[in-house]
Amino acid sequence: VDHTAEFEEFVRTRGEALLRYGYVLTGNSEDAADLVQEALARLGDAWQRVRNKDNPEGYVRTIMVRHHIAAWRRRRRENLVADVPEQGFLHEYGDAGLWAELQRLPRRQRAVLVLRYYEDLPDAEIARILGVSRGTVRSQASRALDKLRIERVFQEAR
Amino acid sequence: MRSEEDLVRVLRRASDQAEPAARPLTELVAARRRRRRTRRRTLLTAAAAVLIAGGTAVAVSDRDDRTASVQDLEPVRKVWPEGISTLPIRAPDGMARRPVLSLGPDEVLLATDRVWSGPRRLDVLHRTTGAIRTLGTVPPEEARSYAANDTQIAWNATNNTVWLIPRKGGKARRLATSVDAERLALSATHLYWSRAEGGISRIPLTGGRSERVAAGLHLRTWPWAVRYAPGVRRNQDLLVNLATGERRAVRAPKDARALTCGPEHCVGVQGGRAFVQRPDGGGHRTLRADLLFRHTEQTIAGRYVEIVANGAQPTVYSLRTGQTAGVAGAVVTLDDLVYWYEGGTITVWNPAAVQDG
Repeated sequence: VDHTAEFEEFVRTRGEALLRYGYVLTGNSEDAADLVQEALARLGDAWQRVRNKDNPEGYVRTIMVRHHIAAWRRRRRENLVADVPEQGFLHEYGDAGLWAELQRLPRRQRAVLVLRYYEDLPDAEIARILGVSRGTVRSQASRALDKLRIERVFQEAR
Repeated sequence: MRSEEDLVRVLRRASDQAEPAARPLTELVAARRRRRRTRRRTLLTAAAAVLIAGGTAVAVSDRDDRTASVQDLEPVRKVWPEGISTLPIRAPDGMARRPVLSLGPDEVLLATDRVWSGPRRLDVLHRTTGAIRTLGTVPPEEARSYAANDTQIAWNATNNTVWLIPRKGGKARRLATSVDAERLALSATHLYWSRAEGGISRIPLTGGRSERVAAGLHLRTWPWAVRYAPGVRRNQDLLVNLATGERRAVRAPKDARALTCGPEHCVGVQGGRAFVQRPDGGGHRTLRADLLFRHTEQTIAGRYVEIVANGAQPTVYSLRTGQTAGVAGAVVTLDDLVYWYEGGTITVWNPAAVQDG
């Protein structure tokens, strides 16, 4: 059975949301587009298996975050001196500083924050996605929040 | 000192800056898959990078696989068969169909178009006969959301226009422009919409001036609207019936977050566990630890949610009875229905047709 139409429909209906997710993970449209295409290509190759037993959206988002972290490890090209372009869209709330600081976090720490505060996932699920312990998730999140000088209010609820 | 709320806001606002793909994503992905196939063939000849596990070929490089086991759940089509209909993805003219709204127990609204561009139309699928009839052609701008009353269907497009078309079919008519809506609802006489930051407005279906009717509220399914408690936890704290003016306070348990309510049921997360309760706080029950909401803040028709067991099989959970049923494949969950793809067909499950469950 040819599942091409079904896969294409998934790409079509979920592409925009995945690009948005890619953007908060990577911090720019170019890397987001690359990440989304790579993850969707892998999903396409595994489509038959994934659609039968898994949830394609969760699968592709997991690939995106894992690939994003792994690619950085391989290349060791840490963007420590972040060249953050003008982010006019954030200025009205004075948010540009926070966005710029987010870009300077190590990828894994930023990924934890994205999964927790953008994807709204519980720490146990984040741990499963990243293949680390729940304690690691908590300590990475805590370190990242400290660096960003963010007060933790409802962490205990997780 | 910054708050977690600042972080949530920055991430949400940043995601709005993502640029759409330069070319159709389907094309870009297809091209990348072709490149990957070529590369993999080269690799495979160089080193036998395939393990044979239980008779199944598993590529070693594919390390992103989820390993969670799959529960053996009765499928939705067996547990709640009343709501099921199946249709081909492709219409006879090659256009692709997509369910977008439940029109009550017997009908589902379909958006039918070509991938990315070209003409678009709205069709209606009849549940028991399987017949599909065309309502009419619609403008090319992608729709954000749909709503219906007994006689009309409304949608808002990405260019912030709002359109109406009669349920019996006919010509689409533009009702309003500059409507930046997160959600629409139709009463017998008015179109209502709420803005992402809260606040509800309405305009008569015959046209005319819009007016603001409620500050700080967000629309759910007509006639219900909700309010969020201040803070980052995204707990709803008030239900308002826009038709009667009735207000019902919602009681959130301590440490709850993402408490999301309809008139009968609320769902939320507490200490990493999913829970269900009535708006008044009664009937509270916590779900098994491995059952998580696939999307927080979303119910299906106000009485089901989609959950995943350890990230595995998508599962529909009845808030009324606690019954579960599995869904396989590429599942799309909307506010009032669920559909999934199987080969060249779409199976729609419309809970409005389900009496018990």
